[in-house]
Amino acid sequence: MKVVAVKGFREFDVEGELQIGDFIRCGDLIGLVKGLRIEEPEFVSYLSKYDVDEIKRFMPDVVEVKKIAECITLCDLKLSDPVRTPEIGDDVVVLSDDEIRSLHMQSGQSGNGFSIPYLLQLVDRADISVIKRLLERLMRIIPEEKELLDILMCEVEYAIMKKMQLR
Amino acid sequence: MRRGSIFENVGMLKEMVRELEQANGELDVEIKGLQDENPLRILDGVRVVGVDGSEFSPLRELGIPVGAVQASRIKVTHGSGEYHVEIFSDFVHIEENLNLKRFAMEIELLMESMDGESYLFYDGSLLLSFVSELNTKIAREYMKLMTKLIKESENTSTPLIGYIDRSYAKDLARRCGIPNSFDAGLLKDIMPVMSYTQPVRCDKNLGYEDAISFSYLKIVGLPSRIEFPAWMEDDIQECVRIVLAESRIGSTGNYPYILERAHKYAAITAKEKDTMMRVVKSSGVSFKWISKVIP
Repeated sequence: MKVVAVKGFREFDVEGELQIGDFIRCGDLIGLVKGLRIEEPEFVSYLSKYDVDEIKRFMPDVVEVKKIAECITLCDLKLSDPVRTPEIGDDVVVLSDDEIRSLHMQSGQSGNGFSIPYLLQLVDRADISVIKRLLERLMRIIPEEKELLDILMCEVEYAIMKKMQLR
Repeated sequence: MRRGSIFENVGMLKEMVRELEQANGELDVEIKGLQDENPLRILDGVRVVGVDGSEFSPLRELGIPVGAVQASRIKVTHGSGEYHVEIFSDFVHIEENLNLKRFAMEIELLMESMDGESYLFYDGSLLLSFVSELNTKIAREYMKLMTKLIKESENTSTPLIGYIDRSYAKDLARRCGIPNSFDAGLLKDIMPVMSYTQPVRCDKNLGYEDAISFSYLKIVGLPSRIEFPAWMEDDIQECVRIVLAESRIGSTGNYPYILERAHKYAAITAKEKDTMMRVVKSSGVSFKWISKVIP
């Protein structure tokens, strides 16, 4: 998987099979998948002559769709604010649960070893559903911090209600 | 020299084109019609390979003496849904010939695909008429590669087709004493829709051309030229049917699908070029170039 577009200081696109909420690493930068889209398949220009099954059998490569993951840079490998953008063509890898745990349990940031310093930035830039998904995942991966994550989740849910004017 | 812009003198341009396409003699060529068959039926089970390349040289202008070449190969077994796309690239120092490097990559990809079954499509002429303008060493290298390709096609019985969408070749016109016209222009009105000309052996010029034959294929509009090793002459009808069917399934209906796709994969887009520039960054960029792009 590679970076295919850089849209701003913290936002970039990756081509490949990713899911919303995936943590990714691109060099020394850590990112999060916040949206997915597919580019219009090329077979559309052949549809006037042949049906989809014929196109799949005879012109198979035009059926392939490009899956694009819209990503946001969260931090660097030391959980510090990023100071650079990814570059087009950079390789992207998905972080495993263990790697996500190690990343968030680095000592020195919040005293107890657990920290999510990028959360404030994320609230401004991603859908609340993405943030909720991230917190749920962290609860599963770092169960000992569930209490703290529950509080954060309440804040997120409060923000949702605030948006819906239900407070 | 004429007074006025080219738009004011467009009538003269039209007249020149008309003269080029006008035959004052008869072309010595046999034309054969093709049946209107379903292209998918013709192609079912046929394996085709398309090869194309592209190059990128503006880094020289930037003050970075390196260019880039990219070549693609697509293999499709029609009817089965199986395909395989590969893209290759290389960087070329300023002393090397960028076009030759690209050509060598394309030839290598074709050579590797010689399996005795696939129809290999190459986007361009098998006749290297342009080499007479090159220095001897480079010209010899081009000819060596092409000769090897033609021989390998014969040795492995792998059909090889050089497809020229817009040909300005004058082989037939010259033979018939009308050298100011070009073959495709002259054949445009003579050939019916869905027809081809019987193979004609190329004239020996640089030494290997008599191993190559050519035909013209008209689907609609201007006929396209196809070139192939002379050993394929006996089976020309099957070859032309495959080229016709490939062309009809292409997005335009008049250019082979397999080359359309090879071109798509080989092309270095403006966006990619821009990205490459950014990747190389500003170190070593010439001040002349900077002065041109910074207002």
